[in-house]
Amino acid sequence: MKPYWVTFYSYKGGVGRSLALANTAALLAKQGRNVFLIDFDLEAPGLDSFSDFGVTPGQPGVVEYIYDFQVSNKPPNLTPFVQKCDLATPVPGQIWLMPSGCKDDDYNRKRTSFNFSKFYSEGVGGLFIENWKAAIAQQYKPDYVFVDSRTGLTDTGGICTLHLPDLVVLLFGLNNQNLLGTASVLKRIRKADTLQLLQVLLVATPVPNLPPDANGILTQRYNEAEKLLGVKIETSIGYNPQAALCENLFTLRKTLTPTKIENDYGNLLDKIKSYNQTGLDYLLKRAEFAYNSNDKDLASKVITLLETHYSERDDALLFIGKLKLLFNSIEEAIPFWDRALDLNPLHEGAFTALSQHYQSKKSYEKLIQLCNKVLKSEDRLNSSRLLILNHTKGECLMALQKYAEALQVYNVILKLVKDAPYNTLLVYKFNFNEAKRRLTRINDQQEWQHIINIFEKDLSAENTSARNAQANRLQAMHVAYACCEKSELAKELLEKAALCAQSVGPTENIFSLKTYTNVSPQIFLKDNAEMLKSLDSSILWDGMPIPIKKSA
Amino acid sequence: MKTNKNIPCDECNDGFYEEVCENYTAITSDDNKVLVRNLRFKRCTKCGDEIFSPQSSKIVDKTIADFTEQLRTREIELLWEDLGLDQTAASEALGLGAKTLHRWLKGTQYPNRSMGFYLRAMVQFPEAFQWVKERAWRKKNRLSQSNTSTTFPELFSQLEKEQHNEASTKLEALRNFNPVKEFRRISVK
Repeated sequence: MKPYWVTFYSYKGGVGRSLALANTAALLAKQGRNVFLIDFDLEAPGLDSFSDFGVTPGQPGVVEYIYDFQVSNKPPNLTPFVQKCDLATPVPGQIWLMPSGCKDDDYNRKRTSFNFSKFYSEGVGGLFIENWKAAIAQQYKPDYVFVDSRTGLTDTGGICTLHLPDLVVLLFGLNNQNLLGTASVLKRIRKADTLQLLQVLLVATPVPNLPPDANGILTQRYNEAEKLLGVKIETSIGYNPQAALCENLFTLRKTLTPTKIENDYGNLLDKIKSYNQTGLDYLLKRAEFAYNSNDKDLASKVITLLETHYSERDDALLFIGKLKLLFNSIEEAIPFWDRALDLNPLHEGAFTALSQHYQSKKSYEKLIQLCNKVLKSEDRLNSSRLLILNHTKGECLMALQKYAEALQVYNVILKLVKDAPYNTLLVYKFNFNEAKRRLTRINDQQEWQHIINIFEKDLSAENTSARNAQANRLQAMHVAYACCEKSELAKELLEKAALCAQSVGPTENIFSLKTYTNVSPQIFLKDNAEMLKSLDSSILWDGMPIPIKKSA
Repeated sequence: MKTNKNIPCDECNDGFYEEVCENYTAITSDDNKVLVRNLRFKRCTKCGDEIFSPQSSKIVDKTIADFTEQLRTREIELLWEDLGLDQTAASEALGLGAKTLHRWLKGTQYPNRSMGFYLRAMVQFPEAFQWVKERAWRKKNRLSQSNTSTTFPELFSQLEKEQHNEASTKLEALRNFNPVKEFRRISVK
């Protein structure tokens, strides 16, 4: 499929055009899309100055590419003019950069030798540029091509806005110079005799953080902009002092909650994607729609397209699998999810889909294999995913009664969470202790007391969680109390657990301490009653004797 | 010169056929002129209508066949053997109608001069026969054989996937398109 071409144009400079381009491109790569960047700002080049892209500045690019063509009359091979970006933060997608050029003395000589208007009117320019587009599509197969355009009314601006793109992102400040210029460019783009119909997205930038009062200057300027441009301005990028000072890829930062500027770039990208009606993102959107609306006709169309064009893309494979579910064929879906994980072991959607399937089938061996496959690329996983993976693996091992291996896994988990707040450790510490108890049959009272301490500190959490989670928690904790010579309290917990379980709907599941799997409330209650009975005989449900409180 | 004035002319009914012996110019099926030396035939004294005896007809046919290097029935049989396919498949591959070969082999018709050359070439160059058999020209868009194809390989390989007329419309549009001029028309008031 052809890539979606987007040109970032601004009438005046300094509005943050290149920054918006670089950040949305980085965000796309983070989402697993491949992006090809072209620095067509030949008079004021700069995309290769983004140190986060990890490219060598001053390498040949657009100017040398066009110059070589004019000398030899043959379009040169693209490879020497394109660099693969090596981002500081690893991302699943790829970014290539075709810089403007070497920026040496020769660069300027070559650049000024071009007469683009003549180039086109001789009938060669159009073919050359179109051939360039085709070469990028064939050689690099990107999902998106982003073009950084020259500002103002220049000849290259004409190529960038009227020939190259499917969508023009027009960025503008809210002052009059920007608005008047942008309005006239917008008018020309709308009226111009182009090869295809152009889409335009207007983006106000950088918008200072001012109160949106009805009479405030910001509202006034927005109104003026909408009057001059004749459209509603829906997208904007806020002013950010850091963005004004450094070339930062905000979208690649690992922040817990996204900052305002990250959100702004995210919104901009969503808008760009919503205009794209050909590529992978569009098909995935249709796939989701077909899945949610149970539309089998659409689903089979989308499956065919995804299989033809994107059979090697993890997201596409995930959705092919999901859509196969509409035709009731989970068995057909699994190979696609497996393939997605082979391509990208870190793919979360494919992992979730597969693990849900194995869990429902109670194929714990398979689920462990799955976790191990993902855990092989441990160094590329963030800590929360590592935790989830190990947790799932531990539960499977417990369910399979492989306590020694489970103990190892829970040990790993405790290392992972060693810096976490004390009161969040209950589950992890409990699992570790329980695995150890089942393996060694030794009662480590001190450890159990620790767990009781955490549990009692955090009793308030009890009432906020779901009924089935509460039942599980109460049932589990009875072991801790029983082991600490508090069998009366242990019994009380089990009785409470039974109460909770009784109010859980019959179609729901409760995680059972006995099997370490989800069971129906009915089975849960049966096991729970057995546990209570065992306590009366001073043993735990699995027959391990418990210490009896020495009477005072 | 012996004459026989007794036979009246079929065409004009005025004159009589007169036997002549002279150089005769025959016209081949593909409009080439062939000279037949010292041919005996009859010509009407009034209207010039010509009639030929079976012997003189044979002489004319033989001269034309020699000039056009006409393939004879036996030769055609051998060529078809050399093509290495059964008769119908080979005819189909060469683009001949089903009955044509039958007529050639029966001798009621002969391949014309250019067809004779084509058939000989097909047997001489199996690669060429293969190329014709596959109709390989269909894979190559005619556009890609024009001069520009060497200059814009990627563009043309993309256009080849499109319908012929769509591709040529697009090419035409590209040759006439000038975004730079369009952009220069902007005026900032």
